[in-house]
Order: sequence, then C-alpha cells, then structure tokens
Amino acid sequence: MERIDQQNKNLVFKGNGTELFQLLFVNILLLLVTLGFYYPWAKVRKLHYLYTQTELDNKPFTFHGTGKEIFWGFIKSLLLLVVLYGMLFAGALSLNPVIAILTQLLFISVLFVIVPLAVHGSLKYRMSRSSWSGIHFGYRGERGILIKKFIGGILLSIITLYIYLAWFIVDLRKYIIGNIRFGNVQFRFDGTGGALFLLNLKGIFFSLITFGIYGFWWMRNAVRFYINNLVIVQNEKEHRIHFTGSAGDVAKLVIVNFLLMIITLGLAFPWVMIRNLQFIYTNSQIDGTFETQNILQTEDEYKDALGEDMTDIFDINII
Amino acid sequence: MYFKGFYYDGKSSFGHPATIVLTETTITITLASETLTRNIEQLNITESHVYDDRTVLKFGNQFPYEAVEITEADFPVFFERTYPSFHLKKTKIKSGYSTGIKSIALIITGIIALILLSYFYIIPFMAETVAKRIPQEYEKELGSNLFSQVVESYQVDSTQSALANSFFNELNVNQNYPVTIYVVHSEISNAFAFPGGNIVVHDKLLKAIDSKEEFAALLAHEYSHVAYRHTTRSLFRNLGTYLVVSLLLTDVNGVMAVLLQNADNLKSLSYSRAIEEEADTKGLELLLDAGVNPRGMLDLFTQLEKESDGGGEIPEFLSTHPMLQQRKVTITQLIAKSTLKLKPNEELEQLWKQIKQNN
Repeated sequence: MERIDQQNKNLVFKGNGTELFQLLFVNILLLLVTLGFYYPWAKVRKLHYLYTQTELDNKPFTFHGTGKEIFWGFIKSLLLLVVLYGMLFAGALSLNPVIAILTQLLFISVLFVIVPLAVHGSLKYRMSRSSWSGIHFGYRGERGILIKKFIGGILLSIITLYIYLAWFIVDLRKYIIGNIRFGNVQFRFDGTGGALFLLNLKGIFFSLITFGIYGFWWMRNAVRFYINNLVIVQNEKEHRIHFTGSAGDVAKLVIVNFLLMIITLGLAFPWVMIRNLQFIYTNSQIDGTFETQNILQTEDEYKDALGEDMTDIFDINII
Repeated sequence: MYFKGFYYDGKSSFGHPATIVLTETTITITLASETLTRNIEQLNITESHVYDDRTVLKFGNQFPYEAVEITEADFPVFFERTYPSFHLKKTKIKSGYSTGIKSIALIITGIIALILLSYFYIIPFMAETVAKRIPQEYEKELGSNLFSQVVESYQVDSTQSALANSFFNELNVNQNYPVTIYVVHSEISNAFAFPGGNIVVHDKLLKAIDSKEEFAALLAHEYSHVAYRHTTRSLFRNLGTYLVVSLLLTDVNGVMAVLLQNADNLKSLSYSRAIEEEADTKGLELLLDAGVNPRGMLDLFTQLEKESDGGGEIPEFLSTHPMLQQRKVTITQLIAKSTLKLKPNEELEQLWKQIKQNN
C-alpha cells in the first residue's frame, strides 16, 4: 500500500559560485572575441552546467540542446531584431512625426505577436531538450492559443488600468504549466487571479505604510503563491509542493545578495544566482509520495530552436 | 573489467542497477533479473556523452533511447581503449583546472581596462568619425526641426533680431553655416546655438551686456558651437555610450545601472566643458580676425558672473557653461600670446547703439 510518511523530496543544487563564475567568465571572454556570435554555445554551456548540477533523488537533469541547434534560431532572431530596430530608428530619423509614430505603432504591434511566439518556441525547444533519468520533458501548448491569450490579456490589462494583469499572469501560467509534460507526469497551476491581485494589493499597501519593510513578506507570499499552487499529477494522483521559507529567510537572502553585489561591483552575480536557486530549491518541499522511479516516457523529440534565443534577445522571462 | 552503473530502458525513469562489461564487439549489461547484450554497432554515438562526472551511453537510432549511465571516472578511457574507432562526445562543463585568484584578478583587470579604453577612447572616436560624416544638409534639417519645436514657446523680437543679424554680418565671419540670430523675450539669461545655424539670444542677457565687444564675443562663441558641430557630436557620443552601456547592462542588476549612468553623466559634463573651451578658443580667433577687442570675452564672463552673484536664480547659461573662472584664465593667457590688430568699425558701433536704445 501507499506510504504517506515518505520523506519529502526537493531539488538539490550541487554546484557552487566559483565554478559558475569560471564558466560565465570564459563565456564572456569568448563572446567578446567572437563579437557575440558565440552566444548560442555560451548559453548551452551555462544550461548544461545548471542542469547537471541540479539533482532530484540524487540524479541530475540533462540538457540535450546544442549550440548548433540554437545558432540558426539566434541568427533569425538577430535579423528580426535588426529589421525591427532599423525600422524604428529610420522612423525617428525621418524627422517626420507621422512616420515616427506609425513605425512605433508597427514596432509595438509586431512585439505583441513576437513575444508569445518566442515564449512558445522557447518552451517547446527547452522542454523537449530537457530530461531526467532518460525521461524527456515536453510542451504541448498551441501557438495560436498562446498568441490569443497574450494579446487579449495585454489589451484587457491596459483597458482595466492594469487591474486585470493579475488574472492575465495567472491565466498564462495555468495554460503554460498545464501543457508541460514530464513523461506521463503532468502539472497544474491552481492559483487564481483574485488571490494574486489581493496579495499584490496587500503588498503595496503594507509596504507603503511600513516604509518597504513589508516587502520581504510580500516577496515571500508571492513566491509561496507560485510554488504552493503548483500541482504534480502522476497517474491521477496529485502531489503538492510546499514552500517553507519565511519572510526572515527572504530578507536575509535579499540583503546579503544586495551587499554582495554592491561590494564586488556586480562580480558576485554567479554566487547570487546560485544563492537564489538554492533558496528556492531547499524551501520547496515536494510531497514524498511522488514516485520519481515510475515516470513513463511519453514525449517525442523536437529540435527546432527558433524562439530559444528570441526570448533572450527580447529580454522575456519564461516561468 | 566491469563497471557499476544504471540502466534505463528509455520507457521509464526507473534506473536499474547494472554491471557493465565491455568486450571486443559487445557491451553486456547485467541487471538483477536479466542480462542484455548490445552490439557496439548499436551504440548511438551522437546521443552518447561524457560529462564531468559520468558517462551516458545510448543505444538505438530511434527516440526514446535505451541508456547506460556509469559514474566511474576511468570508464571513458577504458571505453576508448576497447573501441578505438568510437569517439565519445565530451562535454566538459567545469573548467577542471582551478583558476588561481591571481589569474582571475589579472583577467578581470584586463577586461575592465578594455571596457574603460573603449568607453573613453574607442567609442568617442567612432562617434566623432560618424558625426563628421553626417551630411551638412541633414544636420541643418535636424537643427531646424529642433529649433521649430523650441521657438514656438518664445516671443521673437524681430527688430532686435534683425539688428543682431546685421551686427553678426559686420563681423565678417566666414560662414560655413548661414547663421540666423533670434532675440527672444525671456526672464532667464541665456543664449544657445542649434546645429545648422540658428542662434537664440534671450533679451535678459542682451540687456546685461554692456559693450559691442561682449556681444561680439557671445555671438562668436555661439557660432563656434555651430561651426564645430558641437551638438551633433555630443549627440552621437551620447548615443554611442548609451548603446554600449545598455548592452553591458543587460545582465547586470539595476543598482549597477544607476551607478554606471551617473558615471556617464559625469563624463558628459567633462565633455561639455571641453566643448565650451573649444567654443571659447575658436570664438576668440573669430574676434581677433574681425579686429574686435578680444577682452570683450573676458568682460562677458565677468558680466555672467555678476548675473549669478546678483542673487535669485542661477542663470541657466552658467549651469551649462561650467568653470567660468578657469575659462577666464585660459582666455587671458591666449590673449597675451596673440597679436592684436584692432580695426575700428563704425558700422558695428552704430548697430550696437541701436540695439542698446531698443532695450
């Protein structure tokens, strides 16, 4: 029979700041030397490191992507960026206000479509090239639906003076997370827009009257909202994740990170990055009944990397 | 020779503890319940990998692949010795060698030096090169565009403007850019030049000026801004540094952004000082060529200082024209070095009298 008292599981990050620093350092040097064209390989090296150093049940994750796969997506994204910004600059330099405004409008409308396209492409590629114990991840979302959700959400957010933003964020998250597969394991996001809205409203209000001190509680609540509402579904059984960090832990993390960055003029950012990762990993307890040894392969291979770099070039953060 | 590892069937995440033996043509994988034999030809060499701490061998050419994972460090060497024609892909992620603090510090210093070099020399040089190549026509268009936006908020004194233009023409400046002077009404002492040739003088400043030499000095200074393309040049410099700074900052957090941008402001301040000094020097040359007493420029500076001492608000002219004292010293030295050939100009005197009468 099923054992309920099984120990909780959590992700463990085995790497350290010095290793990441060395890796990123070599990356930056090569990027400088190659005028940025090393970017896809630099990115793969970084992902490789972060994946292999992350373990679940003492087994590492693997990133299967290659620089070559990402390179063409990178070139296409770069060309698109050049064309878009070229258009924007040409519009501004034409000194004709009508043309300038028209190009700006066109720029924004193209971005409206590009952002969800890039998110979709990136998710599809990144998930399919990620695995654990030989089981590949996958993303089954549809491009058209994401674009519709995205444009509709942005427009509604603007019309409602950003009140709808909380519902928009939750809606996107539900859709994206609901379409991620880890073999036969599925995910679900249970949060609601209303809860996120209240959380942020409370955050703004109390931060104002406590001169920002409440910010640490706000941050903790936000992280807890995103993590506690994540449900792992395996063979129709649900497994929850519990975020155990306190506001004091958040405060310690944020303040130390801030001091590290200031003292080292930003050079400490690999250590800061790992501190953040480790904070999330150690404080996210996955319910122990999740059977990591019993995940079945379901996803196909997928190698189109367009979108993978677009999200970086346009500075979009996924999940 | 055998190795301990895990076997994955590609269908489930279950890692079967396995013992792996390499023979000449086959790989035997012994599990708890059965023994699998795979021919070395079945190895999928493109999917197999040697990582820092483990080796993953994959079999078959159809996804999902069967896999064997071995964490023993000497496995890759043994594998390549057994199958010399199979070369495993190696993804070395950790650098392996422990970089000493010294070499890290050295490389960081090198990079910082490179960034500073490009920031202070390479980018300004490239910006200047581009700015020089901007066609005069485009500069004029840009200037008149900016000018038309600014001039709308002013009330132009057409009589004084006409006199000021005649006054400037009397100075016989070799005009690469045809200059138009606008005297406008304002409560602030100020004067400025637009790229392409429009010069705006506030009437408050005009009232404060006592002599035709001072006025000539002011116009000569402003014209030098136009003739030496100061606005266009600083525009390109700012654009260049902005681009590089924002490129550098994409990965760095907001605190650094603020720090660096403030540093940039300091730099543009020092550049604007260089620009003012050039306008002074070139303006002085114009005065000398026109036979106007160059001490007019010193008087102008004294006048501006008085304006700022006169209490109330600091004239805007001063805030954009820093270090007035220092500039006076420089100009005094330059005058001492030059030979003066004053040419009495009756026409100039008359025009100045008319301007003063209208005030």
